[in-house]
Amino acid sequence: MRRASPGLTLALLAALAAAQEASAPCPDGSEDAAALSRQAMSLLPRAGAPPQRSATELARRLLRRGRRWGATEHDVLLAADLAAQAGDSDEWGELLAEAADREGGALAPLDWLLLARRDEARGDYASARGRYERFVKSLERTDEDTRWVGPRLKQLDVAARAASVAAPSASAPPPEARLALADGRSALARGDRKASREKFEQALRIAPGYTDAALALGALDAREGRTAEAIQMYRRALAAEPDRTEALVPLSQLLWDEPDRAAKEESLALLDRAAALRPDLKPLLRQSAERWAQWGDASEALKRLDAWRERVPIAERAETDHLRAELAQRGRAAAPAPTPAPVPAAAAAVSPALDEWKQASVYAAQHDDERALERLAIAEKLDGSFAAAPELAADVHERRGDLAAAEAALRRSLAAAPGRSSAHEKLALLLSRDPKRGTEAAEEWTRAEQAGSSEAIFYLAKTASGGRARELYARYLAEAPGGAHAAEARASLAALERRRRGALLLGGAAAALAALVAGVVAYRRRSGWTVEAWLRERPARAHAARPVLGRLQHEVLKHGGLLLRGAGGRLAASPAETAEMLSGRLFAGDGVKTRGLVAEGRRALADLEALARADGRRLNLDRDALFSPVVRGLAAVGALEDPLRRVRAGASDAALARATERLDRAAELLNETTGRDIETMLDSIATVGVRAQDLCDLLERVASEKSVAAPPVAITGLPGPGQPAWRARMASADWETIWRNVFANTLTALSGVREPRVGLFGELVRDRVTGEPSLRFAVADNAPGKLTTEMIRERSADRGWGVVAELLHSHGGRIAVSPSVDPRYAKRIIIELSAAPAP
Amino acid sequence: MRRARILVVEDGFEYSRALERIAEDRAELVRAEDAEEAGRALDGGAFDAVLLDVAFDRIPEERLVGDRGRGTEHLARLQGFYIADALAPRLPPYTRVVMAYDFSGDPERLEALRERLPGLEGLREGTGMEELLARLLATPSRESPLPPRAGGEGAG
Repeated sequence: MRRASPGLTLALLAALAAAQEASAPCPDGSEDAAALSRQAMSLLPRAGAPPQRSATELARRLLRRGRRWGATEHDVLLAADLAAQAGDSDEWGELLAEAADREGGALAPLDWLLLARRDEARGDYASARGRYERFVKSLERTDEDTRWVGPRLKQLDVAARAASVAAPSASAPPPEARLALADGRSALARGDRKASREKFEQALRIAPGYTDAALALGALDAREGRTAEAIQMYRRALAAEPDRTEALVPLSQLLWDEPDRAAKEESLALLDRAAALRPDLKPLLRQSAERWAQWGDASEALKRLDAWRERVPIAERAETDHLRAELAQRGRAAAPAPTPAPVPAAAAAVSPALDEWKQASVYAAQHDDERALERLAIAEKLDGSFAAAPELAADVHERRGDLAAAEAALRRSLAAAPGRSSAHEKLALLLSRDPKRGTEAAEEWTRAEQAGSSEAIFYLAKTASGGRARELYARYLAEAPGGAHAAEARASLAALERRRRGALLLGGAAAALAALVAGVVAYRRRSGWTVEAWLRERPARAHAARPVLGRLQHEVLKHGGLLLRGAGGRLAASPAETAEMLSGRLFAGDGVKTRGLVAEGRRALADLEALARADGRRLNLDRDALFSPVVRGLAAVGALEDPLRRVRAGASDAALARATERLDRAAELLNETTGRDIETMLDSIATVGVRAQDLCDLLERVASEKSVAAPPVAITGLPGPGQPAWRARMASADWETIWRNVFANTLTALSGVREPRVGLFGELVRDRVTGEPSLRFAVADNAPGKLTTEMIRERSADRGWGVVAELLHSHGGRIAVSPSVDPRYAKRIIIELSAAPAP
Repeated sequence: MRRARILVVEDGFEYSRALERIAEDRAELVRAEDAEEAGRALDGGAFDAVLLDVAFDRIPEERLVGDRGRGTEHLARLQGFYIADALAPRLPPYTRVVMAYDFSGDPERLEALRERLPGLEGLREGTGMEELLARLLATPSRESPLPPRAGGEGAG
């Protein structure tokens, strides 16, 4: 049946309107659909007559009743038209859809189009696609141009896929959560699982979407055999960051070990996803091939195995020749391909940029990079704090080979959400690709590790050596026993242990070695902390440790180097005189003005241990990769006292030769650790990144805590998105305390000001006298009232300014107030503090 | 040959005694313990080179020079720089000034300081006493500027 056009219907309605006025019809109580339809039709105006509202309403009621008894498609469409005429778009849409869902043969092309758009607006993309297709079909034999529908359908597909994309975690966890995670990891490092669990749980309570905390707790659960809980934790991590390899791999492993088929299917899909995301991790591909083979699908296994074989050296390939032959023989197996792993439900992330990011994700997955970048640019404009957008842009740029753009995008992401470990990881991997930027990469891995990344521990271990590397590999395995690098970490750790044992074997008999190993094992069990681990746990302590370490650096490493380098030769040339000089310089005790090197060194180390003890931490410098050479060097120098005395008294040639050799050995040991190593370690712990956005965010947080609106801030000079952050030599807690107080006082001063203004200026300068890099900030505002430098210094600590002045003073910084040079502001507060040199 | 005059500014005796032993008749070493003593030493005659220790934590606080607003720890830790700054106007241009500080971690710092002390050099960690003496003795004549800086002193 051909349906009447909307124009004709309206004409009928108009014609019937006049008759309706003369005889107001009433429903006769019949429940027959056809009769009700006829009754309704009788109410409609004749052609040309204007419609009458009451009659239309009555007709709609009749048709509604008729639908209960099985109205025809024609009647449904009539009802739809009447609903449209009455402006009832909801009922119109429902009726039109109802008619379409029956046969739809009576629907006009325009109806299909309207229905398609309605479905699209409602997010029902699959239905919309079907309607568009019917729309095109209904116009097949006409001249109507429907070429525009094809691209529209592609957009629909993107929108449909985007709807199933999980929202990313858009921001970095708060400092409290990061602190709790760091505490938990420290507890884990010393074997206190109970305490570490409490801390990990605390981190998750503070920041439920904190991926690194969920990963840490998941790993702990897995180690303790709490598989269900571990799976739940890894799922939680993936909900926040669906592409996190360190969650995909262990979850895949746990699910593979589960007895049910569905879990194994999901495991396969997760491992495939991890392998696709990280082509650099070639073992994942091989593991995937082996799993598919176990699953019974030789064809899929073969695909992955061949992909792996293409990427590895011939020697490695040979290991899998047998497996490959077997798979090729088995051919296609009967096992059905598992369904792809569903993308986990995302943590709610309310951002105006989310939809654009989701669409960009789909375009990126389709390798439609231009459109992906276009969407991401819009996303960044919509929400500058939505760090996932530049992070995804970085992935796209990297795939296109534009590494500079990728780096800039990652830096924007980190500027938007500092401490986002996934972005730090990506940036570190990116920097690692350039051999000239190894130092930067290492620093970025350190930042990633500080942000909570367990993967960073692995990469830091790869760049470390000796005891430090062993320590880091062991830590990685403790924190991520099923992680993506676990196999490599185990192998590296075993190789390092073998090397160490080999070295030990060279030095003594097997029995002595056994005793030594037993001793080392026992020793390790009760071993204390390294300086770095202690300071990482208590970064604020670095400030107190710095002068002690400075003394060690100055008196032992620098002066020791000057004194001991070439001393062996001098001793051989003029034994008595050199021995006398060395004895004086090395062994002078505490009673004289210039203490000997040994006394200075021991005093500095004792002071360091005392500082750690005050925090309840026992340092074990013998197992500290950085400081054990110093300890051994001092011991070697200390052991020279008697030999040098004998040389002074005229020792034999053999004794002189032994003393010379020992002197050179001591010099070598003290030369192993440099002051720069110590500075680098300190700066990696006790510096804080300085970016414009961070300070703005902090100002907003302080304003929010004070329940006042944040004033507009004009920023000049500070590093913006894409620019490397400055680094202030200060623990982050102290840094935040300073700025919280500065901003809180500024906001208080601005209360009541009609148009409050804040200017934030920053510059990286060098001290004219010392040349040390320092950061100079000026916080300007238009608050009335007098504030002077003296007032700040004299204020009691509880007023905030006192705290700021004291903290700055104790860090070698200073604060002052001066009139503003800019007429828009009344005054400016100048803050200066020490900065770490640019890497 | 005239013996070179070298001013050693340090709060202990590490450098002066060790250098004395190996310098023999090649150099005359004058030791000063703080900025004031160093100034008095300059009153007594010109020096071919100056060796400055950096940390001065064995002299009383009141003998430290510099901005006291930065705290004693800061002043003691970097006293050598403050003494260099105090001596700078009194030193003939291009006098070699060796600071016992390794600038290799921040070479720009050395460049910045050379604006005021063109003859400033650093001391790389691990440098032996013989090498240090050789560098102090390699003083150019007062009429000619230092050789180009690419000769290794930049690395300190």
